[in-house]
Amino acid sequence: MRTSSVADAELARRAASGDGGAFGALVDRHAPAVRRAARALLGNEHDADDAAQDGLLAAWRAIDRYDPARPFRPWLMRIVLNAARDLQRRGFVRRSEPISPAEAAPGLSPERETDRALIRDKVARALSSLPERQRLAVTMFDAEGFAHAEIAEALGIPEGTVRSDVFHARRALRETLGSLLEETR
Amino acid sequence: MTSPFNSGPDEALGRLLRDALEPAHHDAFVTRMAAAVRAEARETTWDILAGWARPGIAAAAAIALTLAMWLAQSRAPDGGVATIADAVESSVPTLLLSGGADAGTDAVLAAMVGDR
Repeated sequence: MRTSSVADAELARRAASGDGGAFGALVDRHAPAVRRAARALLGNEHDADDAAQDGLLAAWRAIDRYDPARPFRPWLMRIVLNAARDLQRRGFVRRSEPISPAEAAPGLSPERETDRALIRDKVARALSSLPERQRLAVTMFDAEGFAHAEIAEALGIPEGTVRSDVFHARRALRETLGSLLEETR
Repeated sequence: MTSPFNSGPDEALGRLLRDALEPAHHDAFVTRMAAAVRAEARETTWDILAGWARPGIAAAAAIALTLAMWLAQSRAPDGGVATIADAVESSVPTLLLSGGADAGTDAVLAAMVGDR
């Protein structure tokens, strides 16, 4: 059976019985979102990947404690964000660096690469100017499509706080990225 | 009117954020994770085996100790028969075959009368 059509809870159940392939399918499905969220928190891609790897391994070890009656994504995101905060606490976080054109848009013409890198850099800077909780809330809500309740579960805060964080983060980002956002719409 | 706290996702902002945070080399990351999970699974198997080995060694040591104590206690206080080897050495056939000083009618009689 193709794992792309299998629900998270079923893959998690198989993973809990020792099926590494099922866990691999979960990683394939959710790695982009957890890596982006870790990057929003830490501001550096390499640290974000270290944190994501630590978090995903922690999730593999704890997979038998996952409750299939609850959504999988917030459970996984919470573990990865805890790993990211742990990395941050231990002081292993590198300084965030501007995104290089080649990294931003491989395969594009040099001019377009540069444009895209500048946009990415501007957005990353705007995001990094927000408080940590707002950064995570707006990334998870607008970029990853989490519901407020799922974000609340992942961050361990009340749903009302998530709504407020998303609202304030958006207002700040719209102020900073106004013209860019208009071009994107 | 919809509250600004209840609005849905902002697609344009979401696209910009995804693009800015986009991780590189997804396939390489997934491959690295799969290897890490396999290594973790192997380690766990060894942990389980090690977990079994410790009680196994303890059980073998306990059995050896019990056997040694049983052998020591089975030795009678008057220096009587303690082991199978002792029993064989002092048996009538052995005495007769070895032609020792005690061999002879006395030994045969003693064996026939037994404990009577």
